[in-house]
Amino acid sequence: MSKRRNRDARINLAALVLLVGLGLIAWRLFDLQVVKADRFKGIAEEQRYQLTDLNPRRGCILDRDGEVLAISKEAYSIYATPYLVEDAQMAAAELSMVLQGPRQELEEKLNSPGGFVYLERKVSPETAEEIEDLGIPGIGLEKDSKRYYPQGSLAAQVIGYVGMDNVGLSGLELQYDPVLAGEAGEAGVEYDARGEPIPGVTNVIKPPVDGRDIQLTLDSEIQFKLQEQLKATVEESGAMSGSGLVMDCHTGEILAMAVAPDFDINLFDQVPPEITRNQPVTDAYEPGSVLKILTAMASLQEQVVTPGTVINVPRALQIADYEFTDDHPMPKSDLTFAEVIAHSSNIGTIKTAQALGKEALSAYIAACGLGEITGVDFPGENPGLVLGLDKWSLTSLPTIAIGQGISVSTLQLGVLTAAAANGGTKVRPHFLMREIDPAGGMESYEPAGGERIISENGAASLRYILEEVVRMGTGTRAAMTLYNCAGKTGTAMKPDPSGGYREAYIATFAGLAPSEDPRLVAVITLDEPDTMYGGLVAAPCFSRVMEFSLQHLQVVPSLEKVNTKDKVVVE
Amino acid sequence: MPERLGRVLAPKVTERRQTDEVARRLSGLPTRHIDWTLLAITVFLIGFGMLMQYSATRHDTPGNPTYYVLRTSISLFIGLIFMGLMLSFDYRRLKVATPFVYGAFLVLLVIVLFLERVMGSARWISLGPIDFQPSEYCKLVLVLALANFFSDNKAEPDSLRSFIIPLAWAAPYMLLVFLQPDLGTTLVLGAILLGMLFLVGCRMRYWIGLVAAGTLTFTMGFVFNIFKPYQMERFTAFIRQGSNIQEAGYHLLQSKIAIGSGQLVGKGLMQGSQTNLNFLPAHHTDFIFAVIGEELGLIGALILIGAFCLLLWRGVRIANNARDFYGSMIAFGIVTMFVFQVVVNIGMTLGILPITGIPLPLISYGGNSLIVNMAAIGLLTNIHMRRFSQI
Repeated sequence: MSKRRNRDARINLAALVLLVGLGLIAWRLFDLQVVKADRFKGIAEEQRYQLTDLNPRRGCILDRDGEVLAISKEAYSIYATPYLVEDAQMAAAELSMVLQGPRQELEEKLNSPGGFVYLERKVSPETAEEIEDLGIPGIGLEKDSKRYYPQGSLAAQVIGYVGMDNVGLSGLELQYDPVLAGEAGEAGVEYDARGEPIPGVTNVIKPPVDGRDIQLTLDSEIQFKLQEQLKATVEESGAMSGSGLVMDCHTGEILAMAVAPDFDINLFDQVPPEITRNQPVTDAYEPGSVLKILTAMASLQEQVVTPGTVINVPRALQIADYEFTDDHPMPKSDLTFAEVIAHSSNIGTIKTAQALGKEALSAYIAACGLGEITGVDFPGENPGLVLGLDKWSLTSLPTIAIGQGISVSTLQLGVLTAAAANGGTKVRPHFLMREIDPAGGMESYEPAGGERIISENGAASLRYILEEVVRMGTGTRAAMTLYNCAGKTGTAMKPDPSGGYREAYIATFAGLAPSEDPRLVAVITLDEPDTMYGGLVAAPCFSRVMEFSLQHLQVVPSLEKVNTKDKVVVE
Repeated sequence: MPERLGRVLAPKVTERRQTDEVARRLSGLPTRHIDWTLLAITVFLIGFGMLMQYSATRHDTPGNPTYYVLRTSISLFIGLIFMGLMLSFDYRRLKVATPFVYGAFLVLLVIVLFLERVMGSARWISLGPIDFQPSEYCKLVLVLALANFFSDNKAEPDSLRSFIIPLAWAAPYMLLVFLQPDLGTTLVLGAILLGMLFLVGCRMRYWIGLVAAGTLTFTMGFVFNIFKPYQMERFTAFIRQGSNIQEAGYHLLQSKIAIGSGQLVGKGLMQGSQTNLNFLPAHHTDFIFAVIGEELGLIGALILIGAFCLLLWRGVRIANNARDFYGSMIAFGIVTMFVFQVVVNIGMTLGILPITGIPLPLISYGGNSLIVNMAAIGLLTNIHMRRFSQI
């Protein structure tokens, strides 16, 4: 029976091979399920379980009266998983009906390679519902939010805008992004092999914290008036642009700040970026005669002059190799210091500045914060440009005294004017009034109090001189019907990039009102108007904006009119 | 007198008792000798399979969680009929029918090549709601044909003739199935041939030569690109495990993740995330073992393997106890068929063997496979219960 034994031997061999095979399988199972189990468990969880951000609601931006300037609304983004779309042509046709977009473009997106493509960002909940009702496989909705600016162009450059991802990109949206944004929450979401989230297994690990609302010092009514008047003035004067601000002279609260031309923030991505600049803060320029406020301030405080000091004003004044003249003839050759400023005499101002000395002038420039940022709560503030005293040439003192060879921002002029208005203190300008958390708790913003630059008396003398500017000087057009005001005109030559100056001007009026008990300061700047004199173009704009603002704030009209537009004195 | 019976009637028993024993065993119906253990294991495996199929597929057809399981139930019903049929008559009658059945399936395998291809393969003949897959049945037909030859073979088992003729029986089936293309079934047919040749006592030189020739053909196929890209890909995915750039590599990785993440006791029935979230491909067919590994863990996998070992043990026992060499060869052939498929399928899901598209017998979803496996169990039962019959 060797055949039989032979077969038994073979069966045994086969059994042995099989046993080895089964042993291998058992060993492998043990290896996978016990030895390496944790690693595979980790991979399995990782590939189906993903952490997703839960987006918080972005805070609103309100004006000082609670008017909504920016708000986040519920929106939906529509996306496609192209390989899941069965009939791209049909789907594109149906989608284009709802989205009102070109069919061709949609079809291209639906045919694109890859697993994810946005078809449309941030559509309204109503549109989203319509899309959902179509029930096209491979088309999905993603909850999103859309920033909406109900006032359109109001304070456009100040408020700024947010990007697609709802992160502030410019203006106060950028400045206060950390406050407005809130904190994203976190949730674990289970996905299947196609990357579709499994409904009902969202596990919130950390709920999102909604952003805080911010209430601004801006007053929508004054802001509107300022924008309207700037726009009209720019149009009338043929200027390239105009900008301005209205500020509380005691607190530094900015009630209005505007640039003309403006734009609708909702459509920010359709305008050239340069018009979105908030010029009063971000741009510096040579102010011209308006800076005589500073020269006067320093000279009065240092008692170099009094408003009544008589100064001889010649036709021309030779300093080093440069001959200074006045732009227009003075009524007489002997002027009081008040008349020098009122008629904006360059020579009279330079002579006063020479008496003051360059160290003192330089010290006052620094004390007024020129060449430094004001610390306003706005991104990208321009500190202006002031030459260090060691770099001053022989002509530096006379040129700086009349506002050339130095650059400042409109906001810095506002701070300077406010010091004259409030009795000599440098205010810290700001936009934020308070933060309001989602529960309703409030936190007021109070910037550090400013330091004193000049005495109350010095400031009073300065106000008197600035009042004279409006009563009988270059600024008569700034006069208002109900309130006395004070201020200073400026017409600065624009520097030529190739050196020297060119035949282009910046016209400015910086003023305060009511002059007997100042409440507000306002600065109006016009870039390259057809008429060169600030008094002719910027002052009337100042007058209308200031008068409206004071009335809006229910400020009692001046009892005794010292300067008036209509020569009507209120008894 | 058949060899087996002579051994059963051992000389130590007294003459009287011998006669009694013979009389008792030969009287009555053959159903008295049914192998209930084998049937119990079969019931367990099929039930286990259907449970896992349900667990794996209840989300695959939205609104109809029992779609696949109901289809399996229909196949199960047909399978029961075939099983009953296969044990209703003396298996020796198959000897006459086998050449005709062999020929009929040869024709079907040719016809199928000219039919519409489904997913790139010409495997199925559509009969209304049922897709008939001849290659699955060919496995059993080949077992019968080879058993037929070996039991009638007068030549020495280690002669060249005893080697060439079985080869000639198997070759047409293997070639036609390979052309479908269905590499997995081709390999099963080859395994049946090699297994039965080995057990019958073929000359080892020939046997090793055949294995070598097969390996060479495979290698040449690689070199001359006769394999389909997906077949090549499966092989390279096996060789370079861990790269999931290719589809097959991804499948293998997901299978290993499923099994590994099941750990010792599994995630629980219907709780497999790999399975239910569709990370695991073919989770109700070729990769169902990974579902078991994920949801029932090492314990569940070992219970399944244990059940297959029991089935194997019963099969070998039936082969040993068969009343004639023919029955013995059929049983060995069927055992070889089961063992090869189980080992290759499980090995594939574990990454110790390449992906070949072989289903797990009695467990994987697939009507034709279930029917033929049940018929094979029926045949085993037939051989076992007629081990004493004279007729």
